[in-house]
Amino acid sequence: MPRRTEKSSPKAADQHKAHQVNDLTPVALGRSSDEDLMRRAQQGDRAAFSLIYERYSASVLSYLYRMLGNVEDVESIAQEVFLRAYRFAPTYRYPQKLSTWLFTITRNLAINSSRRRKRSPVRNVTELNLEGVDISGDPYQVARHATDSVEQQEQIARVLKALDDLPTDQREVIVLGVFQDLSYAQMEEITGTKAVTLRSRMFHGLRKLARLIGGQDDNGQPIERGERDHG
Amino acid sequence: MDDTARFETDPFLVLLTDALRAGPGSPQWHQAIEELRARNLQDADEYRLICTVREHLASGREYRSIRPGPGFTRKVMQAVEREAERIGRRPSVGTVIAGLGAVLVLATVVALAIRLVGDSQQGQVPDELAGVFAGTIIAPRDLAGGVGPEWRTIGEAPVPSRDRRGLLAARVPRTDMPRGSGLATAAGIAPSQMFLLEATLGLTRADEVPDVQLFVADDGDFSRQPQASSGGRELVAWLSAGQLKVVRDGKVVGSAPKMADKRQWNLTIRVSSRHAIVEVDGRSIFKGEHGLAADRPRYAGVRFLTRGQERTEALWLQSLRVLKP
Repeated sequence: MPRRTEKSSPKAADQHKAHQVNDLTPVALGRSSDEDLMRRAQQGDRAAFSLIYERYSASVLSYLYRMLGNVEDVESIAQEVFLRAYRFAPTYRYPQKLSTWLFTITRNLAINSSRRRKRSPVRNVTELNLEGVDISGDPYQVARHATDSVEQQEQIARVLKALDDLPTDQREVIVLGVFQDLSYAQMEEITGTKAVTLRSRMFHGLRKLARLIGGQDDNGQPIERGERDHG
Repeated sequence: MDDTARFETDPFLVLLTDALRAGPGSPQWHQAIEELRARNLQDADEYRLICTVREHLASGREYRSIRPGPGFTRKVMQAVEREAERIGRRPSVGTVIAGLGAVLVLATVVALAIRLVGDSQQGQVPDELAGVFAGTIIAPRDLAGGVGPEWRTIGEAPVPSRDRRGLLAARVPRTDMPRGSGLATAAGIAPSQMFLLEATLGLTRADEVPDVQLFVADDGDFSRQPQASSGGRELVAWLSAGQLKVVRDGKVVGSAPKMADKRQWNLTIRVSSRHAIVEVDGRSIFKGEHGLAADRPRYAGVRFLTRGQERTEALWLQSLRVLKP
């Protein structure tokens, strides 16, 4: 009787494929795509969910930090993001990109938080469990940590300060597109705004950023020194 | 042209915005820079400035990036753990559907049981009510000789037929609203007293004759015009155009098949303190609670309803009596 090999047997190939799909070892999980991990998480696989958390926690935290501009709310909102991701995992539908799904949750919670903060601006923070280049978020502190060059520090600080001064919709498209590396199609899905509008916001946001850094106002006119310093 | 629309129609702006998103080093970036060099664009200086800012951002992608500390990760995972336990305790969709189904079945069974119990309670009339009422006559049957003191007229006074067949509906002027004429027991019957009201009706035709109502009421005032109805509750056996129905508190609670060619009707209402049986020719068409007040005397009688255009001679009340066991 001839010996059947995996290579020659379609049935064996199928078995191998099935084995790969069902392989729950950490190594195999680590190689899985975000979407595969999410599908495992939907079935209650907490190891898969932990990997999703590992892959996205920094992105989610950074996005929130860049958008909200304060570190106080970031921690609690980010926790809520992952809790909701776990709770509402059954609502995720493949083949939607997991990053799109996750950032939609994150953005919605950030918007809700901003509204709440407008109503009640006081926060009491007793403990922070985050790590970063500079948690203070102050442009000059961030720049000081980024480089030893005083000239570069000044440049970085001006960019960050200008970024803070952008309108929220323009800052959002820059944060999502540039810092989070999301495509216009993904941003369209997350924000519910047409891609052409997002392109326009990207262009005008960066143009405004250029003018702010160059010491000009929206119309390209020079900003007076005192005006620039005091926003 | 709308400014935003330019980013859809101008190929260079589409390329530039693609490049600005993808950043330095990307194919779009190289292509956009090439185009910017090769073409003599009106806003080339501004585009270059924008590209420079984008380069600044690229070199600072890590600006304000933060990472979770061990405390944060522990908090998230503990929250997820609690959520998993909560979900584990929560019934699945299938269980919920099955549970709802079970509740629905149970509710149906309970509703049926209530209905059956209600029906059986309605049908649970005392045995003696269905027995023979051959005892004392409360009100006599002899109407041909005139209405005795046990009876009183209500509404328009019914009239004796010329050939002494019995009482006929009073003749009234034509009217839209039917007018009542009839007899009721002169005295009230104690609510605890079981009795039988019996009427025999003769007809020569079923249509174009007055309606007849055999009734038991818990109010002796029949002055409500034009139908000579009482102000209280009534249980009524109502014959109209060959159709007999039983009405309680204005609602039909029983009926007999239409018998338009029937020329004689023997109607009885057996009444106890709480229940009643309505029969036609000895066949029960209603058996249940009569709905009369438990503490008020009962008045039994018969009522003709006419609009003044029916053939009153074609229907007569041959006999009417009230018996007790």
